This record gives sequence, C-alpha cells and structure tokens, in this order.
Amino acid sequence: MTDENPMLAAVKKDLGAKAVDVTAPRLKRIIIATTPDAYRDVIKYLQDKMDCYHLSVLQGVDNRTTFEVVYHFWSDRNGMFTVKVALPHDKPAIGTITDIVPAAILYEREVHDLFGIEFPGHPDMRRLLLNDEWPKDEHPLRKDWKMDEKKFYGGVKSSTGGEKVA
Amino acid sequence: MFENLAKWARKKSPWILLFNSGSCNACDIEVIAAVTPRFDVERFGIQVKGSPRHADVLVVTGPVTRQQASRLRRIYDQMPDPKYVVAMGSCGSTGGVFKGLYNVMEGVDKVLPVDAYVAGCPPRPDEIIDGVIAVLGMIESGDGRKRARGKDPIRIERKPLEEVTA
Repeated sequence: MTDENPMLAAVKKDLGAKAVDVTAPRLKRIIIATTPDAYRDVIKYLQDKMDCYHLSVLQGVDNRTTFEVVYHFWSDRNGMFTVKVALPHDKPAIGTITDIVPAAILYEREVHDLFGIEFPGHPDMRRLLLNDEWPKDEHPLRKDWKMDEKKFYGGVKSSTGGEKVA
Repeated sequence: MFENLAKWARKKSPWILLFNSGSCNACDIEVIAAVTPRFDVERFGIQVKGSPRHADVLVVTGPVTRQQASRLRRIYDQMPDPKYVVAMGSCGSTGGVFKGLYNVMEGVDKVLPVDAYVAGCPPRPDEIIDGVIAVLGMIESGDGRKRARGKDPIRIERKPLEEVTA
C-alpha cells in the first residue's frame, strides 16, 4: 500500500535524512516524525513544496518518558501533513515557529501553559488558558501532575480551608 | 412599620442579576426564556437587572471557574443587603460534568452562601421561577438572613412533566 502512494514516496525522497520516519495511513494523510534539529526544515519544505499554508493545530503530547509536539498542516491540494517532534521529558524546549508560521502564536502559548514546554523566541509568551493565580510550575495536562491540596490554585481563598463557605 | 414597608417592597419587586460563571450557556438561555412573556415573571415583579447594586437575587449559572470565582465574590459583595443567591443547574449546584477538573471550583457554594439550588441540565424556566419564588418566601418569613449564611438551603428538584403541565 505504502509504495502505491506517490506523495509518500515524494516526501520520503525530498526529506531524506531529515525525517526519522514517514508514514501514510491513507492517501493524502502523511505523518512525518523528525528531530528538534530538522523540524524547521521540514516545516519550510511543507510550506514551499507541499502548499501547506495553513496550520490546523499544534498539540503537545505527554508520553511519560518523552514529550511530543505535533504540528498539523493542511493543504487544499495535498491533504493533511503531521509533523511530530519528540522532546526530552526533563527539560522540554523547542524553538518557536512563529517567524515562519504566525498562526502558531496562540497554540504555542497554550502548549506552554498546559504542558510546560518552552518555546524560545516566542514574541509574547504570556499565560493563555490558566487563571491568573495559578502557580507557576504546575502544568495540569502532564500525566504526572496532581493537584496539591495544600497549594492555592486560584479562585477564592476560603477561611474554612476549602470547606463550604458558611 | 418601616421594616414592614421595606419587606413588602422587596417581596413585590425582587430584581435578579444573572451571572455566568463559566457555564455552557444553556442555563442562561433558559433564564432568558423565563423572563419572556410566555412565563410572565413580571407578575411577581421579577426583572433582570444589569447592575449588582440594583439586584436582590443573584442567579449564578455554571461551575465557577477559578478565574471567575473572585469576580463572582466581588459582585456578591457589591449587592446591597439583604441578598439572596440561587445556584442554577447541575454545574452551579455541584460542579456537574466539570467536577474534578483543575480549573473549576465545583459549585457556587464553594464561593458564596447559597439559598436555593435549582437542579437540572438545564432547568426548565418554570423551575427557575420556582427557585426565585422560594427565595421570595424567605424574604417574607424574614429568615433570609439566617438562611443566607448557607444554612438549610432550599432545593428545587425536577418534577414529573405531568405535574408541571397540569
């Protein structure tokens, strides 16, 4: 099946060693696994050669041992392209793509909030989704995150220690 | 004498303030439906007001997100005494489907003393009116102040449809 997909063959040939793994679950649906060194080249290649002008979504994934940043690009002509970049779990960081894909500006803030993945070079890394009083180093979508009952996560400080206000 | 006059005036014109503390809008739509001529709450003198300074009854929808909790508290503090709180919907009463999430306070009673709980997802307009009328009863009997500290609140539960339409 894979060899019958001409797009897959073209992407494999063009990217060469920049892609760790290229798969296609079906026609017009290409998944490219790459490295933090080569992901910019892959994204530029998708923009220039594959007509991917639209960033559909940018996700973070916690695989417990690694983090993954997943970029979904859409092209009217060529379909959906997914770029996966694996990051180390202890200090996840990947350079911003807002200079080449301006649409990523909000997505990177969201992933930064919820997973704690750093995006060096981002022009405006303010908090996006979490509330103002939320503690700094807590990222609720991490698999090993648990709410600490003693900490204050925002909302109203109750004089009765979390009991109902009476 | 003046006390009685004030009580009479309050009972005949309980102005309500609707506050959305992060609900899905279903409850808000039902409140808007409740103030339409079909249900005719003006016969009780109920009007929806835009300012907490003019309101007697605070109707809160939604599970109270952490970001909204301090705002909700501030609005409650801005209301003149005596004031009453109706927690609307499953979310307002207990947190509903949002219970256990990192970003919600799980119910209005974690932030404010609640006088009446109106269950339902969303409650029907007649149930909302039932809740506000129950609060009117508290104004009349004068135990509002006592009740308003969160003791022994009123619970409006869903009646079978035949009972409502009869």
